[in-house]
Amino acid sequence: MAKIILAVDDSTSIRQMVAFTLKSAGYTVIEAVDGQDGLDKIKGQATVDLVLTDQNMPRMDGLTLIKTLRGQPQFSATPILMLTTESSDEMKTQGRAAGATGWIVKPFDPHKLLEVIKKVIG
Amino acid sequence: MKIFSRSALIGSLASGILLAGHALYFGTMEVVLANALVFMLIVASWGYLLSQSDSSQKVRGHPDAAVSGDSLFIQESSAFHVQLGNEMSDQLSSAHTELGNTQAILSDAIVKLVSNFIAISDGVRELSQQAGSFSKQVHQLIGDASSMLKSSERSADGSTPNETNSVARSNKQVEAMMRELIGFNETVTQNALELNTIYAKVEQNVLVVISTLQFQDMSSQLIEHARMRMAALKEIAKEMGRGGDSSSQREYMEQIAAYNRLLQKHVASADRHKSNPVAQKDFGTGDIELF
Repeated sequence: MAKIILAVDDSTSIRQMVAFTLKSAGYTVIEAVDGQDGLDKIKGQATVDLVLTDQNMPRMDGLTLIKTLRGQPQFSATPILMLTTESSDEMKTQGRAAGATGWIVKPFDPHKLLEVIKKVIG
Repeated sequence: MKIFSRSALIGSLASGILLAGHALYFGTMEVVLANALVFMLIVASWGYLLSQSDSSQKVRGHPDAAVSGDSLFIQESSAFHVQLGNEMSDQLSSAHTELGNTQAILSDAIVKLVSNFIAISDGVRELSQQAGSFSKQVHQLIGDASSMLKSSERSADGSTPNETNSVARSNKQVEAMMRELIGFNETVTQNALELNTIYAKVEQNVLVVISTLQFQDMSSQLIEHARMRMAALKEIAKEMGRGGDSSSQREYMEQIAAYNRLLQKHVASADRHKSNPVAQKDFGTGDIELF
């Protein structure tokens, strides 16, 4: 059974690119336009295998999404990768403190993204 | 100057009284004449002093006139600020809208471009899969036909020589058709393999395109950040355009200070709301860090 990845980004083109990259590698992708939409989309879902989220988004940013997911038992151990243009050490520290598994700075290399995801969820 | 003029007037009067007394005491015509001349000289000097005092005041201007001059300057400056504020507000508003339109057009173009690349990749993949599937179906068909051929040969064992000959001829014809079919299927299989290779190449190229097209997302974020700052500046320009009712220099300076405070407030608010999200020094593909 294909592994499920939640991809959250407010940019339509980035969502398209992430979804294409992940689907071409055989993953099932759930797309969301911001943190709140991401939470809504996985409501009732037993679990997802990985969350890939942007930081700067309307309504709910990536850090808040991570904190919210970490507060829910079914997502407490789910790998969460931040995919963002933010590259400062300060932001990375905040991400780590919120419970992010890793930090990927845009623009992403599709091959490297797939390598990291494979490493994290097998 | 007024005090000086009054002193000269009093001095002239006192001199006149003393000279008159002196002339009456001595009573000679020469003394009276000399005293009258001295007195006229004193009065002329006093008149000259008064005229100089008036001229001096005219050159310096009246204190009340100076006050009204300052007020005029402040009014003119305020009117200039109002005009400048309105002009800046209009220009910033236009630039804000134009940047927004540019951002929307770019975003729309990139979304369509990515969609088309993905559609091409999906199309080639489907074609490759269909060709592969067709080749398998033909292969299956050939296998089935061969089995049926063998079965018909076995069935013909107990037949008459004419029937056996007829079956043999038919079998040869079918075998010839099958050889053609096998040859055709080899071509189809080869094409399916080539299509599969093309699909792999297209997919790789789309992945390269994906790395490149992400720069639009970064430029979009930079434009959004610039628009946010422009919106803050527009608010300040609008406030300047409304103008103040400052009539004194102090009120005018307070008005300027108020604009400055507003600027600080909006800049701080813009920074707090969202810092510049694109600060990479190297715009190659980004770093990956696992915690």
